[in-house]
Amino acid sequence: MRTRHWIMAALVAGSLPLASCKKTETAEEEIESPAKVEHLAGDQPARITLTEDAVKRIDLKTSPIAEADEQGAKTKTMPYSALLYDTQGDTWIYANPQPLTYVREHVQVKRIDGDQAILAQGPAVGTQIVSVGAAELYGSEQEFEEE
Amino acid sequence: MMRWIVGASMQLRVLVAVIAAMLLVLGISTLRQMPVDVLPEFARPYVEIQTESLGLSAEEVEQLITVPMEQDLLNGLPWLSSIRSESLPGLSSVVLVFDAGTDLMRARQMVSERLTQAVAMPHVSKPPTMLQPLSATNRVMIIGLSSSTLSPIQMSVLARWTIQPRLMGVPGVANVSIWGQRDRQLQVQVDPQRLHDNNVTLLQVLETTGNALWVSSLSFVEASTPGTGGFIDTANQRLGIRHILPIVSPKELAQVPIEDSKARLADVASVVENHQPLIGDALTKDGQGLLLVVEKFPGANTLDVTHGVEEALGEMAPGLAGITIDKDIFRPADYIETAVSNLGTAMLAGFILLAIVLFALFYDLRTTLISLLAIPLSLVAAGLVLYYMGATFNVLVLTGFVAATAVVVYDAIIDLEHVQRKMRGRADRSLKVAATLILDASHEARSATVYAALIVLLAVTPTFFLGGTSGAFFRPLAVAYSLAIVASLVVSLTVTPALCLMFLPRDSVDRRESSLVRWFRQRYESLLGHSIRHGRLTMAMVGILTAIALAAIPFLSRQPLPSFKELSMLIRLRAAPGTSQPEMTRITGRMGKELRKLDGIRNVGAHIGRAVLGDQVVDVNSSELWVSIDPKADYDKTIHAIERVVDGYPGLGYSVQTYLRTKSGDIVPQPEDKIIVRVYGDRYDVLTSTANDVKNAIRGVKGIDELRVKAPTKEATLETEVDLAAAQQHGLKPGDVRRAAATLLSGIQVGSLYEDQKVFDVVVWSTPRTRHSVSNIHDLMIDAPGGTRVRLGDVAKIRVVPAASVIRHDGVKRYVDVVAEVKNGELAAVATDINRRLKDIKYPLEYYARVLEDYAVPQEARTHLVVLVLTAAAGVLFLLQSAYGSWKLAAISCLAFPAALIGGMFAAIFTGGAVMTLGTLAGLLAVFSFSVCSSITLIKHYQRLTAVPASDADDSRRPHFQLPLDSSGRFSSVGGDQGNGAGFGPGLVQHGAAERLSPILATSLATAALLTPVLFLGDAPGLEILRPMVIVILGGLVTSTLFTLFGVPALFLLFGPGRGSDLDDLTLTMTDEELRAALAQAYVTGPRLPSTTQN
Repeated sequence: MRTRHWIMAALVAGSLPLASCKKTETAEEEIESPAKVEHLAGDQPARITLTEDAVKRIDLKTSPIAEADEQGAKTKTMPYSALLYDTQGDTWIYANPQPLTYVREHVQVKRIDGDQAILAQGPAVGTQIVSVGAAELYGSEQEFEEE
Repeated sequence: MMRWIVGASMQLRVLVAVIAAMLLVLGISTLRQMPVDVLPEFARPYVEIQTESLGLSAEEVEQLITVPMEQDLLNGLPWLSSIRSESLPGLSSVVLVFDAGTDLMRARQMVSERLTQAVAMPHVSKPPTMLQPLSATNRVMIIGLSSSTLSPIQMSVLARWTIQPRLMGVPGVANVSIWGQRDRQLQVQVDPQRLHDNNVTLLQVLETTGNALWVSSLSFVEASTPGTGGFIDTANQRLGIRHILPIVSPKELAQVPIEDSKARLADVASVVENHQPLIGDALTKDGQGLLLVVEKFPGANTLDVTHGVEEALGEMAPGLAGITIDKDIFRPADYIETAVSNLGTAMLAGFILLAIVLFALFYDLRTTLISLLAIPLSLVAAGLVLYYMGATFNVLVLTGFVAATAVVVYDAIIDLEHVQRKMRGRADRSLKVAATLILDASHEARSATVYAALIVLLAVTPTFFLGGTSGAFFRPLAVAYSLAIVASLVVSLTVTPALCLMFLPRDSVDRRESSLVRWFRQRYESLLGHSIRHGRLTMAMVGILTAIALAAIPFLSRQPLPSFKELSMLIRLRAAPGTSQPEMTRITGRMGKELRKLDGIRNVGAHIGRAVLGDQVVDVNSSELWVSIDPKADYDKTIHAIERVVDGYPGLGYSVQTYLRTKSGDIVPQPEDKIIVRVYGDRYDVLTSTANDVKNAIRGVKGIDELRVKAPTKEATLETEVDLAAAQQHGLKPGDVRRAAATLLSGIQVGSLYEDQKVFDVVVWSTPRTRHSVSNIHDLMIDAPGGTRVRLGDVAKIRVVPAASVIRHDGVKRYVDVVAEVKNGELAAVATDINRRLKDIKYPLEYYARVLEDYAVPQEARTHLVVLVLTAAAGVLFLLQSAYGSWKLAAISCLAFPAALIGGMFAAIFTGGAVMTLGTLAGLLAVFSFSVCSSITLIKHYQRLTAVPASDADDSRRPHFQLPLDSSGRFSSVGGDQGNGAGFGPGLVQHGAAERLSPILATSLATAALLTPVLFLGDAPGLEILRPMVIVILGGLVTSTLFTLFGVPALFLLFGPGRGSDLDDLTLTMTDEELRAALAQAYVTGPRLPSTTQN
């Protein structure tokens, strides 16, 4: 009688560590990443898709590229706040071809006048570009290392 | 000697009692003032030197400030372990880490001697400053300031000149840095177009502004020698002369006529009150504001400092009308206060339960009271020693004390139980008899207690030799534990006997033992009889369980420190390198606003970038949000909600942790899966290519999972390089171009304005529109000789190039790391292989690579630790052997330990998962000490029984030994000897164990009673380490008690009685009279001395 009790106890005790090794943390819900970055083939810059929440959070605003008249010639202008410099000195903006989708596009700046940038080269007039929040989009393309 | 101690204490019992009472009372009141903190000071001694140089790029900071300081001044200091530096835009930070154990004050003296030779570059940087010594958890409070009536500049003036100095005066405050500070400046913002229209040069403006003031720091203006007012002596009086500067505001400065021109400053510039370019910013719940971060000295009392700061703010409040002071952003004192109160509640409840258990055991009020006095006395005495050693009361000290409770309780119970047993049924009520009995009782008890104390002390000695940060961390635990054990031993030798003699003789001699105890004993005796019959089976069971437990050890993961339930979370954000301050402030503000709307969040404050002399060495693309959680909120749910919000922001790197977790992140060196090869050199491009060579060379090494080169982060920077030919055409030199551009783009301080008791800068700068964009930089107008003006873009090449965001030095050289992720456990082999391959690489001149020894530290530490543990284990074995006089019995005790630990480990695994935390380890230590004490008690009791012939039994009421079963003859011949003591056999074992049942069981129950309330307080702050510890202790106590009560008797039966320790050799400690009496008796009854048994 006593022996059987001991054997049972041993079995129960023995199975405990095995059971606990499989013990997992409480399952975390899958959090959707705020920005999805797809790298396209070749040298093309990436295409970033944001969630609606993400757009609201960073208060992303867009403006269209406008046309301006400069000494007779037609030039394009855009808000200065849309402009990004990369480390090589090239200038970029983020175009917004479809809702929640952003693609980095090259521009060439003739000069900056107050809060408008006058472009020598850039996307077509009327293209929606990101005027507030371009820094965060730029950040999504980079990987942050743990310090 | 111990006999003398006990005897003397009994003779001086009144004195001892009074001292004990005073110690208890004064001790408790002194300990209330003991500095309380969560973590001990675990950081190695270090000194940080910061040099501010607003506007300087990272490369120039490195070139002009960091390199001269590092190479010429600071390298080669005594006791220096490592010298590391970071050069960021606007800041140079050099950190000198010294060898562990270095006296910080002497090290600081060495550093300041060298710094006296540092030459600050005037107008380029402020003088290098050695930061105050800071605690490892240095932030003690964050105070937010906001105002709807005062401008940021006015608030900054108040903060800088009134609040900060007052708070720095609070004892314990090392530094108060102000984030978001906007220094009040009088700025002459020149408009190049208007300069041109009025035909005025920049130099004229500089000279005019400088000379308009009393004092100028520009060496080329006349105001650099201001002169003094002087005095005149009349026949009777001396009259001092003082000049009052009429310029107090921009309006007056604007009217000053420019030298050599008909224009005035107002015609060529806007003279305004403005602030310096920002290196950081701060946000409170009302938006942009100031954040004051209060930091403390090492070893300062967090609670005292917090209260002092709050008191100071309260005193200043009447004079700060219009400013809202927010003290709720970060206040670690909250956690400490809650934790202390929770601990106090748990302790009080535990003490009450303990009293109940002790009374059930002793059944006598006086005895119970004596024991209830002895237990806290030991802990208070240990605490006082710590207090006078200057230690803080932290979680590790607490853990050490709790780990020692089993022994402390045991010491108290065993003495009193012996005394009570001996005093019971004595014929004579006289003091002398009582004294002799108490002396005897203490003699019986103390050999066990002394050996037990020595063994458990030896068991913790490896912790004292742990090096590095983990050593600094776990040493307080070992020290507290050892002090408690020693104090308990001293108390049991002095106070307990004295109090016994004072209070117990008046006891009724007819007092019987507690009926509860008797009931337990009878049940136990029969149970033990049954189990002895099946001794072998019992042992097999125990063996299997122990093997399972030991086999499970490698599967346990280690998480040394729990997350403390602080109500403050720290969110660190990083944006892409080169992100601007306005953008960082904007995005941080948006996140802060969203967090504030969450349920359970009380307050959010944020600071961006850095502050002058602050503890953050970061650029403006980095920010920290401090979130304060409502104590009534669901903690885990709130943390989860915070993480969800933070994760929802694209383009930011982040970490969400409590402050303590951030600071203690490197306690136990965890990178056991990474080897870093550091490549040293001068230029980043060559460094990166060499690093790639290294990466290719070691790619083939077996055991490497992943390899990558950690290239320095780059950001876009504008570089201007003067074209000498073009400049020469206009008569310009490169220096001219730089100085003009610097003045227009960065501003230059030309003088100081003195108002009341404050000093403000007067600065010549350009209008914001002049420096608004890259186009403006191209169009910047430089004055050329001959009165002409040249566009900067025409004489210099202006381009955007990548530049390192931060330049790091290790040992005075730049470096790039190659990180190799290694499969666990093969670090040493991989490192040797890597070293071999590194030798074969051809390096450019002055470049070299080496494997960082960080990996070696955990390895070495582990080997070192294993050696120490083995030595300690051997020492324990020897001590046990000398305690029992028998190797076999020492082996029994050694078996007791893992058997005892089974219960603890199973309890830990069952409740907390397969994780080995600090609490678990400390709990196992406590259980180990309990099993030592209990097994020694039992075995020594057995030895004493077998040493004394049956006719000379101490206790005349003991019944004759009976052999319960005839078929158990098989036991009597085991071991091959018959001790000359009577009846070594199952009967002795059974009865002997029953005699010792009450102290062993009582210790176990009392310890459990003392600690159980911790569990009932649930997941309360302050008990994060104690909860798993108590669970382990309870589980371990169960198996340990069972093993001692059932397993040890069986094993003793198997192994025999042993020789007994020398301490028990009564002949060695007998007095002359006793010796003569014994000898006389020997002649009567035969040549046999009532002393040692012989095998």
